[in-house]
Amino acid sequence: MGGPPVRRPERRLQPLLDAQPTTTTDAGRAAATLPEPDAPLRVCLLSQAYPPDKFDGVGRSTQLLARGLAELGHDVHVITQGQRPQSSRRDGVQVHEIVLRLNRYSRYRRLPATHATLNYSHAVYEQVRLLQHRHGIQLVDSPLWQVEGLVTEKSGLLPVVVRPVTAIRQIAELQNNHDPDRLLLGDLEQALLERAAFLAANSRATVKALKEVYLLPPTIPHAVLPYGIAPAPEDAVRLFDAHRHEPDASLEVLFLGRLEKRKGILDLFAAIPLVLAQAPQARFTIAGADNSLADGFQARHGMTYPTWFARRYPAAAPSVRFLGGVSDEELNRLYQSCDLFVAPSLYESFGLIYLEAMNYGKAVIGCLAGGIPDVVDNGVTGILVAPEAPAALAEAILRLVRSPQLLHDMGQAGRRRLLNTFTYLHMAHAFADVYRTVLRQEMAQKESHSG
Amino acid sequence: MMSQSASSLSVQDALDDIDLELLQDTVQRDDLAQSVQSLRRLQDDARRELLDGGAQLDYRAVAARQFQINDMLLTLVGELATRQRAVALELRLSPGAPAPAVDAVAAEAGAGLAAEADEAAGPAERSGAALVRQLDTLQACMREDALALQLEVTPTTTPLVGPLLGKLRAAVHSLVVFYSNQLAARQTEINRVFGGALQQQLLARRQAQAAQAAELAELQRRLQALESDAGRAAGHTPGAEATSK
Repeated sequence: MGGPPVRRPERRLQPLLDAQPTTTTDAGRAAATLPEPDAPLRVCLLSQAYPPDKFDGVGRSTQLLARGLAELGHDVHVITQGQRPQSSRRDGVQVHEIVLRLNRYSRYRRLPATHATLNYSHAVYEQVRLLQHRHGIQLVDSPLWQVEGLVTEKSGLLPVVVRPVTAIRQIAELQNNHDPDRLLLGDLEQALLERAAFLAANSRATVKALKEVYLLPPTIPHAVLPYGIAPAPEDAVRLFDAHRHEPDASLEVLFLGRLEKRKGILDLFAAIPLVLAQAPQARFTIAGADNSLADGFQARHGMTYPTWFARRYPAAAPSVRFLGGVSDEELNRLYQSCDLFVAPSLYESFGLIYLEAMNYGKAVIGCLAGGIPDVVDNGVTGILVAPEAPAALAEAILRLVRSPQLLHDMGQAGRRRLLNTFTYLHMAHAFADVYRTVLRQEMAQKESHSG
Repeated sequence: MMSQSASSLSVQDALDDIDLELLQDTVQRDDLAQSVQSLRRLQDDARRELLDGGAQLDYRAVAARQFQINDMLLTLVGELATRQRAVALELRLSPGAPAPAVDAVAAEAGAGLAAEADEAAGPAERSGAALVRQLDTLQACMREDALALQLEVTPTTTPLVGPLLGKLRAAVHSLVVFYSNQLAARQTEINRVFGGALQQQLLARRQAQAAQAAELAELQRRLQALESDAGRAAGHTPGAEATSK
């Protein structure tokens, strides 16, 4: 190419970010209007899994939060992953499905989880931009899990409130997993946490764990906002009938959760024969997908959890049924029909499953770990034992199986506790307050920048 | 520093890459001249980070960053092509407009475009001229001698083994410089292609704009002629004559 004499460009020493209008910090953020105290908010919640198509703990809690906020009169949008791009209205919430395309961040291909995570987070950012343009979204609420809001936060487009749950780094430590892909994801979680406008933790244990695992500075604004669920109608609640129960009648013990070490499935396996030895009328139902491949169990033992149980405890096998993954309807039916709920997780950031069992008036057994003590009032709505202690777990099950009155009273107390503290509307009110606080802070920061 | 090894990718690499992807988005959305400016800043930063720091040179990192810049240049070229197609389509849809021979126009592009562009009067033309100058600057900063590295070995003061250490260092450094310069030479070729494509796109766009302006002037001339014909015709209608009488 011919042309004018060659000129060297002048050196520019300012950081790369200075050159990017979309990645400026607070001052460059899109207009976030200060809401009137009672004005409806316009918020966007993120959840890669979202019922009814896909659900996990994050998906279920996001759905309930979205529903609660919509019922309080706010304009609520949800961005989730789907097979094709489309929008639909569910429970008063606008749900936008986006498709994961692995068309960016190509040098992370050899780290497939990170590669997918970065691409999805970028796709989320693009959808948020669209929503901000079309609907004037004021704020984004992202789960920490899979750092969905990272690119949005990095872009500086809108303030991002982060809902931390169990951190990937915690899980990696529990599973002794040193996979570089997982480790990098943990680092990305930390990056999102450090940049978040606010941390809305679901339990005190989550805050404590994040401080320990990610060494978060104490200046990061945070609050504990417990999850809530939709109360089942009174006629769906099945309290244990202590007066009509025959001493030798069978008792249904329900476990719900992925079949993996972290959920305490091996401790339950070890406890079952101990229980059956003294209470042969007990029957165990285990619902949840087998996760032996992902958590390394298959690599070590060459078989799934149900197969391993049948071989290790053949005498107990007839008293145990494995259902695999179940639908929402089946799940509710199982909660309704069981007599006792057991989930000896080694760690739960909150413990939504205990709330769900309490919803139907069931006594619960869990572990003194994570956020579970925030949910289960030990000795009142259930019994908590030390984690990884199968003998103590068996003892707790036996104590309740032998005491119909306790099963009834704890179930009733659990239902009452749920209605008083843990409904989705309690949760939505608390989050709306946090969102308003964040928007006020944003506005104050903007004013101080412009002033 | 970047590396191709997946296990050595750090969170800072990931955050930098998010910034780069966001910059790509900006290139696609915003004003082209501003995009070139952003790209130039990115390259300056990359050069400063990789070559001016005095740290040991990682030629893989140099190549990785250069590929990122290439990606952005490709995006920019693609965006220019899209806009040029849009202008061409608009012209083709104009009634009575001749089909613009864009490729031929681009092929005739001369070297004095920048000077010519300065003579333009409208804001669009001024923006085009600025873009041309920025492209020239971009091209200049990507010249081979700008990318090529010199062998530099700091003399050592260590007694006895000092000269031996110096020779050893020189040998190692010359190996690194050899491979880096090979990369730089290849990159220069790519840069030339990019620069040429950008210039051609720009020339085609300017030519299309000129054709559009000529068409507009012709239409205005014809409209004025029609208006004056109509005025004359109105002055000679029988009814008008009767009234005037």
